[in-house]
Amino acid sequence: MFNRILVANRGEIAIRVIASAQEMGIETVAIYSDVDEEAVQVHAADFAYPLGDPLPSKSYLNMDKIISIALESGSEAIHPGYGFLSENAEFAKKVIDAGLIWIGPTPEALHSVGDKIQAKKTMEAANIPVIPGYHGGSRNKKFLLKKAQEIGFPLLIKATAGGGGRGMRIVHSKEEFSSLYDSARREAKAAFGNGDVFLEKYFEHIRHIEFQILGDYFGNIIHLNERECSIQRRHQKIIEETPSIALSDDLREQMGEVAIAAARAVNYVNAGSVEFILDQDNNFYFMEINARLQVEHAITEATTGIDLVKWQIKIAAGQELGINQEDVLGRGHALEFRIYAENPENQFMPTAGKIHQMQFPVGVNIRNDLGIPTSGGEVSTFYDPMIAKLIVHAENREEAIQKMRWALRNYTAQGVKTNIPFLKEVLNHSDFLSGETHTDFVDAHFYKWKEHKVTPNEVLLAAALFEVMEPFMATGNEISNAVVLNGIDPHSTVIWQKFGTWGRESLDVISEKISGTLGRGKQAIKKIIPAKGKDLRSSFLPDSDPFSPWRRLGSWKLDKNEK
Amino acid sequence: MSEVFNFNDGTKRYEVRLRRNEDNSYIVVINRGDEEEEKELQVSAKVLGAGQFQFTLDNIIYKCSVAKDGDVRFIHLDGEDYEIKRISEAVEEFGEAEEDLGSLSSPMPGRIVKLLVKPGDRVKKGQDLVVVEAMKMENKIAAPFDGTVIEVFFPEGDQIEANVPLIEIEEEKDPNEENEDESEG
Repeated sequence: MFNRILVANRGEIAIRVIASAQEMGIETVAIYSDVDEEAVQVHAADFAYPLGDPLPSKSYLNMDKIISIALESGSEAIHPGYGFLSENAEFAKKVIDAGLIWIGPTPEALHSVGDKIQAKKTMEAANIPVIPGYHGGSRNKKFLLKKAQEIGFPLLIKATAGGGGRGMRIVHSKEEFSSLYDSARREAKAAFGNGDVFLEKYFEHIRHIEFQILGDYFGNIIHLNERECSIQRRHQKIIEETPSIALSDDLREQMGEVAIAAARAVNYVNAGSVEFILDQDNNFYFMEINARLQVEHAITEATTGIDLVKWQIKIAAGQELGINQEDVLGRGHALEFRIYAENPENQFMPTAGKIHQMQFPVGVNIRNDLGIPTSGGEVSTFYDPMIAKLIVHAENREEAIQKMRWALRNYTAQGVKTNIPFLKEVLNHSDFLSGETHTDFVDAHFYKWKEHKVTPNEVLLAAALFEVMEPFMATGNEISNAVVLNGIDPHSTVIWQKFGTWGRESLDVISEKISGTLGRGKQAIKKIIPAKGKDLRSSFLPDSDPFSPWRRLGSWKLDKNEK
Repeated sequence: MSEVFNFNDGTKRYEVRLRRNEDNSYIVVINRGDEEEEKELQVSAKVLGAGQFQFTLDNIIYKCSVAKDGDVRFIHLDGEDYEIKRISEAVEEFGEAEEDLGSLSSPMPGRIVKLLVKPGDRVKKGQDLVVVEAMKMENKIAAPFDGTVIEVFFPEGDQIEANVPLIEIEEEKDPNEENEDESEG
């Protein structure tokens, strides 16, 4: 197993990966740009290295810099998280060429699925149903318009290199085509450095279903059931759930088999998702393979009990998948609501600024994946405005909804506009409650939505009390404003429990001098609990477990340092 | 001696008068503007931490979390979030400054990706003027009326803050409208 890995990402996903790695006894190296000096990954990782300029292309997308930090820091592998360089075949190849291990799909697989046009052709050849469209790669606008008319409107223009809704446009008529085509190209060029687009038939009333895949270097591929991610705005998911209410056991089995076949068609290794659209007649079409850990992976972890990040690391380290398809059991129902700094009353436009204080719910089967420090965290305009993910797990969908409702009531991120009021309303919508969830849900039910809320007397009273009591409140940065709401008795008089900044101070902290290249803002980077002695190759238990299924592999064959 | 606070929740103005008793409880009078009767409440309150306190009203203990950003107060109470503004007497006399319709501001911080017009250009209402990119999203700013571009304040590629003027346009007066004005006069 690895001794030290670099996490080439920031925020929520960086600390998610760091957590699993640290659990496995692997030291972690974080990277951060100038605006991220106080970002969560800097505090969570064992080491942190500066990237400089916050522009993504000069920081978290800067391949050579990241690789040189990995080498300098003595990292053996790189985990890319999601977004940024996670699906970049060139980067994966550079990582491998530098003698490091890439925690993700092979560059070849990334290349096959990253080129969406090629991917569709590969899938068609493997008898996997795909969406009708034009994937020829022409840049001739007149010709494309002709093709568009053949496919029919509404139509989707999509970036060949894209993802996350960027470089994507819906065209409703022939007249709109030209200007939307230009703007899609421009956005794709800015986001991915490649302006190429393809055309596809656009379905208006469908569900977005994806299957979680895990594959190893021994040819084993399994799926970990589906996630339904139909509720989206700006073509980005905001609410995900598993299982999907639309899938019968038979359909799940059928789609799961197709998902595995799709992954097999590109020799997929590591974690990924096979995305389908599902129409009202239960026809499903392959959309794409997301060759990375997904934002919404946590709901799969909740229902299956499988830590996907650990498996990503184990697979990359050359271990055989120890789970058979029959071992995968989905229990109960999980929901993920993404908390964004954005204004739902203004087309979900991102908001930026300081989150003065944050409170989040803690309780049975509630998971908070936070992306910013809980007090004084900045939502920067340079990166994605997601603040956190709230994941709940319960015995069934109804109870998961109840739990989510309770959790959201006990959630606040004060200082910027967030989508929390909107999410609360979704939870009260009859179509959401009955599972009538389709990709047009937000447009259909929440078009030009405004929050209607009368300010009650209690709030005015609280505002006035705050003015007179503020001088008596503790201030200063040494006191964290993060509070955990007491979940048992809402009117308990017990003073709320306080968390330290990311909880690290309470551990046995050993300060250690690190080379001068480390964070300008950090005099001393904390080193947290030595994971292992220098002479110990690995502390990963299954390696030394006599009954471990992968023991027969012997020592890790990819370990270049092993003499 | 009571203290008076004025707040605005975006729809209307409220006045809260607060008098402190010797036993650390308060008599509070709330005037909601449109209601004839003022409400008088008796509360006791206790500080819990930075921005955290609790108060007791009608034997119910409320826990409250407030964050302050200039005049804005972010309040979390009883499972809901509220955003209200504290208004001082001085400001309210003058009211809000009239919006300058001629200069178009960025809706959010970001980067100017493309300028579609230059000074001197005549633009139609709804015509796209500038493309701003922020948080990986493109946003177009369109002309609010027919007019002529007077000035463009930033070059392409510049990083911009929210609510700063990007382009100034002089509105083209509809000649028919002006005639009507004259006839009315």
